[in-house]
Formats: sequence, C-alpha cells, structure tokens
Amino acid sequence: MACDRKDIVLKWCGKVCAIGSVLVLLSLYVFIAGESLPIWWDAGILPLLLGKEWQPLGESPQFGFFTMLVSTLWSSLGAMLIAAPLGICCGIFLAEYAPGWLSAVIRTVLHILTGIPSVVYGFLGASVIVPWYERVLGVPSGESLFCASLVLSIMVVPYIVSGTYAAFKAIPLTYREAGYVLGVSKLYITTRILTPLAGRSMVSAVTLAFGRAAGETMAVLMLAGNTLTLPLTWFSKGEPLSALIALEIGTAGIGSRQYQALFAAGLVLLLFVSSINFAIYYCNSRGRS
Amino acid sequence: MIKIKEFTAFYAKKQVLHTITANFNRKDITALIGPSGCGKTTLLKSINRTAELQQEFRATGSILLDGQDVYHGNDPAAVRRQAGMVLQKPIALPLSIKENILFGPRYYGVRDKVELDTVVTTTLTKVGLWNEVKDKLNSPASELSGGQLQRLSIGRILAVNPKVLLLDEPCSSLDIKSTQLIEELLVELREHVTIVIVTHNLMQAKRLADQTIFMSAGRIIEYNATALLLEQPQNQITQEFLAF
Amino acid sequence: MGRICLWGSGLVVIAILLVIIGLLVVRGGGVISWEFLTSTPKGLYLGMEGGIFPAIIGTVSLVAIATLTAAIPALLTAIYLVEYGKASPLAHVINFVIQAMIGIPSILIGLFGYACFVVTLGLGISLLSGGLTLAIMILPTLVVLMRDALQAVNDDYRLLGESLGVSRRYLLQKIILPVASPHLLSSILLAMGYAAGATAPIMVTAAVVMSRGSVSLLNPVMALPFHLYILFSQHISLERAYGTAVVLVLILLALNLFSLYLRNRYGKRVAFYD
Repeated sequence: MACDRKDIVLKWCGKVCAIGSVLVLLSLYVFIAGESLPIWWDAGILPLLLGKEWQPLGESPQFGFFTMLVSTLWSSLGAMLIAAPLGICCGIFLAEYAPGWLSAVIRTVLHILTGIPSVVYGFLGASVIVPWYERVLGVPSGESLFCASLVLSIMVVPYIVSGTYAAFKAIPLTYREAGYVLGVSKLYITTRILTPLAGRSMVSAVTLAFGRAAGETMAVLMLAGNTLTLPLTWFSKGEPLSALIALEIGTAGIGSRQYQALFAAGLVLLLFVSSINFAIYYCNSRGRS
Repeated sequence: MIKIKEFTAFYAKKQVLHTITANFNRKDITALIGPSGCGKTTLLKSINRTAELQQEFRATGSILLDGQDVYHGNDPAAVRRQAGMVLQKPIALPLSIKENILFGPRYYGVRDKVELDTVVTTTLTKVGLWNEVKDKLNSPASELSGGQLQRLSIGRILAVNPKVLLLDEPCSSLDIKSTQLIEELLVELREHVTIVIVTHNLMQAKRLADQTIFMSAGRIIEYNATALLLEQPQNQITQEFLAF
Repeated sequence: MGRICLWGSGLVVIAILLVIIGLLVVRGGGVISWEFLTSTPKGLYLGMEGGIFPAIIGTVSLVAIATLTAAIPALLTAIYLVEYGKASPLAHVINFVIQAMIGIPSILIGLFGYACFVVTLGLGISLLSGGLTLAIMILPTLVVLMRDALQAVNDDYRLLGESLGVSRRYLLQKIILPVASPHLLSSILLAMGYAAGATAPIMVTAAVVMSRGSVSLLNPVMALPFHLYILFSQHISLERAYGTAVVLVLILLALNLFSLYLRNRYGKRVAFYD
C-alpha cells in the first residue's frame, strides 16, 4: 500500500476509534463492577444473590435479589417455552414448505415486528392482554410473569425464526434429495434428517433469544406486576432484575447502599447475559473447526 | 529490465516457486506458459508484489527491476506503479471513462487541467480507443464492451508510465476480434514498456512473444526464444505439454 | 398434524402483526391530528389533553446527538476493520468485543450512562447525557452494519487499486465510499430507528415527564417512548398513549423502510434482517 500521509492519518484514526470502542465496552464492565464493589465486599456475594428480602429504605436495609433472579428466569424461560416451538415451526415452514411469495411476505412481517420498539409491545400487552386475562380468568389484577412471557415471546420470535430459517437454508439440497428417493414424506425428511443437521444453529438461535428476553426491560416493567414477593408460579407477579434497576435507580441516593446494590444487580444481569453470549460464541466456533 | 535470481516462494507451508532464475529484456515480450497451477501467475504477481497480498506469502531470492531490488527496502506501491498489472477479468472502476484513465495520475498529483486532458487523449490513442470513445469520455466506463474495457485497463496503467506491463491471461474472456486488437496493441507497446504475459494460448505466445518460458510445478523447465521453444523443445516435459 | 403446526405458525405470525396494526390504527388513529403533533401536553394531569410536540422534538434531538456522536467513530472503526487491519489480531479482538456489546441489555447501557454522564461527569439528567448514552448503545450495531457495507463493495476494486499502487485512502475516497454510501446511509437510518425507540437508557439519563425550559443540551427532555410509558403507567390517557405509540411506530417504520429501500436499490437483495 502506498504510504502517503493522509493514508497514515486515516489508518491511525481508524485504529484509535477501534480501540476506543473496545475501551468503552471494558469501561462499561469496570464501571458497573466498580460502583457495586463496596456492597459485594460488605454484604457478601451469596447474601446478595440468595437474599429474599429487598428493602432498601427500611430501618435496616436489606438487599437480596433472589426474588428478582427468579422473576427474570420465570419471564424469560417462560418466553422461550412459547417462542421456541412457534419460532422453530415458523422457521421450518418458511424454509421448507411455504411458497416463495408467502415466505417473502412472512419474512417481511417478521422484519416489521423487529422494528417495533419494546415500549410499544409492553404498552399493547398491558392495555390489551392484561385486561383480557383479567376478564377471562376473573382475577382482579392481570399483571403477571406469564403475561410478560407472552409479550416477550412475541418480541423474540423473529430472531428464532431467522436463525432456524438460515440453518435450514444452509443445508445442501442433496440431503433432501436423499430422502425423496427413498420415498418418504416431506415431514419425515424434515424431522428426521434436516432438523438434526440444523440442530446446533437452532439451539444457538433460541439461546440468543433467551438472552435477549432476560435483558428486556420495558415490556416486563409494564407487564410483570412489579411486586417484591417471591414468585412461586409462572402466574405470579414478579419484578425481574431489569425492571428493578429501571424503577429504582432514579431515586436511589448517589453512592448509597441502594445505589450500590442496584449496580450489583446490574452486574449480575450483565454477567448472566454475557455468559450466554460467550457460550454461544464458543459453541459456534467449536462447531466450525 | 527484470532480473530474477533464485527466487523461491511459499504460500504458508506450500512451496509454489523453486529457485526461479530468468531475465526479461527491455522492449521484449515474454510469454509465460505452462499447465494450470504451475506458478506462472504467482511469478507474475511476485514481480509487482501483489502476491504478498494473499495471506502468508514468503519469498527468498531477488527480483531486480531496472536495477532496483523489488523487495528489500522498497515501498510496494512504488514497485506496483512501475510494474503495472492487467488482470484476467476486465474491470471498470465505477467512474467515467475519462476518470478511469485519470485515476492513477490524479493520485500522483497531476492537477493541471491541460495536462490531464493530454494524458487522456494520449493514453486512449495509445490503446486504440480514442476514436471509439472520444465523444463519450464522461459516460460510465461500465458501458464499454469486454474488449474495450480490457484496452481501457491497459490504458489505466499506461497513464502512470510504468516500465513494465504484466498481463495475466488478458484475452481469456474476450472474443477473437478483441483479442486481435489487444495483441496488436501489445506489439506496438513493446517499444515503450517491457511486457510479460501469462497465457494459455500457445498460438498467442507464438504471435506475440520474443521469448517464452515454460513452467511446471513451480520450476522453469525450458526458456528460449519463442520460435525455438515451440518448434524444437529440448525438454521432454515441454514436448509432452506441447504435444497437446 | 405436523402440517397444521407448520402452516399454523406462519398464520400466527401474520395474525400477530395484523392485530398490532389493527389495535394501533383503531385505538390510536382517532387521536392523531395536526394539533396533536404540534402542541404541548395540557390538562389536569399533563398529557390528558394537548399534544406531544415536545416529545417529538426531544426524540429528534436525542437521536440527532446519538447519531452525530456515534457515526464517525463507527465509520472509522469499520474502515479500519475492513481496509487496514483485516485479519490482524487487533481486528479479531475488536470484532469479538463489538459482537459481545450488541447483546448487552439497554438498561445496563442506561446504568452505565447514569454513572458515567449523569453522576461522574456531572451532566445531570439532560439531553446530552441521554444522547451520549444512546450513542454508546448504537455504536456496536453501527460498526457491524457499516463493516458489512464496506465488505459488500466489490473486492476487485481493491485489487485494481493495489496494482496501480494507490493508497487505500485514495481508493476509499474515490471508489469505495461512494459505492458504499447508500448502504452506509441505510445503516445509519437503522441505527437511528434503534435509538429512537429505546426507552430504558433515556429513562434514567434524560427523560422527564414534562420539560419546562427550552431544548438545550443540559436540560432534561421529553421523549416519545418515555411519554408513552408515562401516559399509560400513570393512567393519564389511554387514547393519547395509543396516539403516541402510532407516531413512534410510524417514525420507526419510515426509517426502516427507507433504509431497506436504499439497500435494495443500490446493493444486493437484502436477506433476512441481520
């Protein structure tokens, strides 16, 4: 490459920005870990993680986010329960069964769905699903982790469909042909031959969606009920980690115990989602080599 | 003009050239022929240092271009300006015909409008395109035919006044008429630049080249004046290759 | 049985979108008017009457700051990754890190923004804090999209540039950036849409229910997504909440469609969303 001066300047600007981006990410981890360090040190890791009481403003403040962790798991795992079958079926449908025009239409629909912001999903869920839920089941208050899961599943389904679709499309035609010449039905081919081949990618897509659902804030804020008691069933109310942080950080005194505890909660969420992403990355790169 | 001395090249662990030694004289056209994979393109690319753009390229030995060592201590870009390469597939830059020609000169600092226009006229005349495109200098180069584009590509390189012109099977995607035009062009150009052409077409080598080098499996098997090599090959491998 | 599941899943997806559109149009369409778009919230509880103009302006300002802050660094990073540092160890690290950043929940970006901009840098709850936080949120996405845009440019041009001995900078300036510009613009629009819809980050760094003063960098702002949240969760006006949702979705739809148009018109056919 010719080394004129402008070229060198550009290259170095690029390098600086690239390194800068990495630094921003690292500082995110460092900041969140740092702001929460005092309380991790003082209160201890296990009490924070497993403590069932969260009373930041009481006589003797208690900070335990076990309840929130459970809420997060209920809402996101529940979302997977609904979204995974729907998403995988849809992905397979688009890849193998749907006629070209229908496939294009549905893919466009899914594209549009990803463009709708989470607050709108939360809002629609809260103003439509919750009253309906209340009416149908006769309960006074419809907010629950189940409703949150329902809306979360709609939000992440497009990503599962996309991953499944891509996985199936990537399988060479020959596998299908091999099945056809044996005279078996399309369904048989799809379930017995293609699905195992696409298995890894599908798991990866579902896991990614799980991570997304766990980190989602607005939808759960408006749907999960935001109570601080331990949710014992899917239909209980709860307050996932993300909602906890969003609701209380504005009012927590800066540098106070509560402030540090909220950052600690943030760290837990961060590590949780990050480890999911790393796990997928690791599995994918292993699979490739 | 070009002296290659015991040049050896590797792509990662695989050796692609084995101690090549050859000379290409000024105002000569040299053809590199040989079966696919014999290393002729690699040798070509080694001369203008585009071989190293592919990962893990290593080389030993020396290539002297007009007395200067191409590799050690020299800026690759400067080498590439002096040894321009025409690729197999004709490529038009997404610019007008005029700007395609001026792409190199503008980079090297030519600013004066009169000078720029002169370069365009001279270069297009040299490659025989002037009459065909003089009325549409500002239209996109992508509108040209394959043969015209290839001549334009040669023009693009000539605009920066190289000492050597390297061509990698330049006519393989062209029709007969365009091939003929390009071959005539190369014969005219040899007065100004040293030409090295990789070709699969033995007839083309016969028509164009003063000397021909036959390569196989990364080695020079035989190397002689074209007429002698094609009619009286000394080496058995050469004979077998030519017998096809 | 299997057939029913498969076809059914396709139908469910379509139905979901139709229901969403239907709800928004039916319940929110009525409230949209010129007055709604251009006046400020009024009424006993602010927002019961009046419009959402300040929220629109707030969102526009936040997105503008975020985009202006993140676009150039993202482009330079992408240029480095594709043109200069390709396959270098630094590039691998950067690609990995950027990929990791994309999955980070937006509330955590908000948390970081709160700690960094609002508190440590003392900017307070303000347009600037929110805009910068959003910039961090969209940065990794922008880098990936722009990187893909640059990679989509025909590699033959780079080969040509190399063989003529011109510098990458010259090639970028004359060929690569012009060719990639529709795709790059489309990336920016997509990122803008992403920033416009984000609620959690701005909730903690910039947004208020009602802004008093004029729009300035150090004042808090109103924003559409947050306004929607407040209108609903405080039970102020369901009708206007729907209206706000409609406006927000229309803005995002416009950005996304235009972005898609640019990509399709000037580049390869767009595959599934990335």
